[in-house]
Amino acid sequence: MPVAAVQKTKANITLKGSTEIVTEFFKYAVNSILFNRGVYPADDFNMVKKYGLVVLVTSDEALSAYLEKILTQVREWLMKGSIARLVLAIVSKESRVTLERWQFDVDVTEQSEADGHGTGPPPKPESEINADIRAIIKQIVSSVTYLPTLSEPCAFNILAYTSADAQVPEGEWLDTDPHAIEAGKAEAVKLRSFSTNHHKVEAMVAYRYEG
Amino acid sequence: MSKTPSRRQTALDDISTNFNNISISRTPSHNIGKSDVTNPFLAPASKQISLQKSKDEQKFEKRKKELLASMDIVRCDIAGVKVEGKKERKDHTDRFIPARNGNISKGSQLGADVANVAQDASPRTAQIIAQACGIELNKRILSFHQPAPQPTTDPSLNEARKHAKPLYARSAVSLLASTSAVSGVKGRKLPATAERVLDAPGLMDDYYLNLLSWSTKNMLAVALSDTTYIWNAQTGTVDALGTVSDDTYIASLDWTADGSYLAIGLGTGEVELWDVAQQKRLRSMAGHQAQVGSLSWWDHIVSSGCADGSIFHHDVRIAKHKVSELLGHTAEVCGLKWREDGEMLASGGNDNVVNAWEGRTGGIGNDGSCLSVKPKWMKRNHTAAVKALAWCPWQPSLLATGGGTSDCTLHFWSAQTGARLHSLVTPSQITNVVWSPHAREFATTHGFPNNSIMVHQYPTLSQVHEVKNAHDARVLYAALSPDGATLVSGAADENIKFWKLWEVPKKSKKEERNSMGGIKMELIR
Repeated sequence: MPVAAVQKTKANITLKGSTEIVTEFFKYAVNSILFNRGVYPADDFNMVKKYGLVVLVTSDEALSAYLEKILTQVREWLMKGSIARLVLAIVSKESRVTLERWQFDVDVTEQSEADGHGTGPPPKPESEINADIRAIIKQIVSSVTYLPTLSEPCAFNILAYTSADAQVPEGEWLDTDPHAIEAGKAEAVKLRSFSTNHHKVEAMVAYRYEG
Repeated sequence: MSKTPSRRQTALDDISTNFNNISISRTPSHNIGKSDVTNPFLAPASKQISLQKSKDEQKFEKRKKELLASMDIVRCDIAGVKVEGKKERKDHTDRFIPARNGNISKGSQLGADVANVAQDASPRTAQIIAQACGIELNKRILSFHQPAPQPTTDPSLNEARKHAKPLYARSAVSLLASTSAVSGVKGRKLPATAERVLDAPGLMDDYYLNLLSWSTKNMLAVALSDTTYIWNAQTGTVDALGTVSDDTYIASLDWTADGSYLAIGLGTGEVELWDVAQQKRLRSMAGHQAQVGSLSWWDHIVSSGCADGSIFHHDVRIAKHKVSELLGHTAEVCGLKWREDGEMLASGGNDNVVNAWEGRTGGIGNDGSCLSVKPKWMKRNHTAAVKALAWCPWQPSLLATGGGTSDCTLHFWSAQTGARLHSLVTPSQITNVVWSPHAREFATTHGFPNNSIMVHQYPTLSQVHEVKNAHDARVLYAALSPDGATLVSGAADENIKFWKLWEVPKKSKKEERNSMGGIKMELIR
């Protein structure tokens, strides 16, 4: 098929590759948050070079297996385009109140323009994508400077916002409340975003702040 | 074959399905039957949706095609459908591009409720409600069925973790305390080590005794098993005051308010009264059947708490010294404190009870026997022996009590009502609590494992300072210097250590100096 061939040569990142990039980003972002916000003890994390940065990734087997399970499903949803948002909620262990809410909005970029007529933006080289991701990870790391200290023991919860018709593995994923922080008690900071040819990811953090 | 065309196809299909659903639900008159009750945007489970969809598709395949072919006409035909169809399309032009209706955190709290309400409402109402609340009804929020795994808990690592914690992850209070930036603590240097250490060989290792007392004349009385020593804080000289008989030991000490006389409680139950200046025993008051582990003076009354749970008031001026009997404990009384004004007495026992007694009740009955008194209020909140008791010097109705090993909790009481005002859980056994007369703070001494001395603010209860391992063994006894600046602590490691925890305000420093001068002159004379 000529159209497909043209597209393949133009965009060096396919949907599958893009999904891979986004999933990988989620993995490192979630790990960075869990480390930097002290949800898990620091000695459970190992340094890994990624995106030209040193990123801390958990070495706790139970946790990494848990994250892998979630990300496998997220990857599937990304492929089908049925996930709209991934949220990492940090909740107090004792009161179960949401203290922080890291939100990653996933947009599937319109393909119709990009492939057929070539009017869309030129495909992004991977180095550029990595630079964007690096900027987000850096923002996550530096967020400790303005986020309130989490003085109590915390747990986390990952929420996926999917479309109503998304295929959900029976029994593995359950409908839940959004873990939102009450309006008026929350402040939000928008982080940077990155986009591949197929996905656009926007990051934001909302935190409980009663000043 | 590239993915794109097929994806586009599904997208198109989906739009058409959506559209089909819209038109179906908007027009119930089109012989739909049961399925129109469920709003496709509300369907709680995917199963239901797919079921309904297939049903719809089967039933209305033809109609769908028609509608698809003549979208515009349909929209123009029925006014109501036109408006809603437009809205729908505006919000969800593409299912891949979620519309972000305002701040999700604002409305989403209501999400579940609204969804419930909307279930029962007509589709149009449901949509209006959903829009008003800024939630999207055709979205699902899912979480993984398992909770995230707990962080590993390795007791041997916990201590190391505490130290390895990055600065930003430490609690603000301890951070502020370590940088001395807390208001009121500014510029104050809190001691990490003792100012002075005295060796106290034979200082008994017994939680139920009270063997340190610091007089207003700046004399520190210490009981080392059977001998009382007076350490003059001014000159640093030590005098042995006297020795009790061989068959017993000293269980408690307390100075009178003027610092001239010392009451000593013995293991056999006697309470002795000593004149310190003359180094002479004035009288011995019998009555208790067991060890007198706690003593407290008010004016000429010395109250003694006994191992059998009784508290006696002894009037030291009269021959028949026992003037009152307070029965409110079922186990040893290990803490006993008069309030400065003599209106109230607080006692803590090994039965985990805190009692508050009216100061002016009791007395001698008509037949000459003591009237027994019932406590004004009784508290059973502690879950271990209550040794640490202190009346707040700058808030007379405030009493602090601290529990032993299995409790580790400080409770703050309103003396008048008995209401619990605050509570603070500490890491270990509380052996003493001492209020600062100048700062709005109090110090507590602790037992195993940290053997620490902690300083907290009141009423914020934020920690100002902690000296970990202040002693090598549990800190058992504590007293405050008359100027209110230095805390003395005695521990099972047979050391007595002095800690300069608080500053003396400048004004009172002058007064202090004057009064000290007075004492010196007296001593010289």
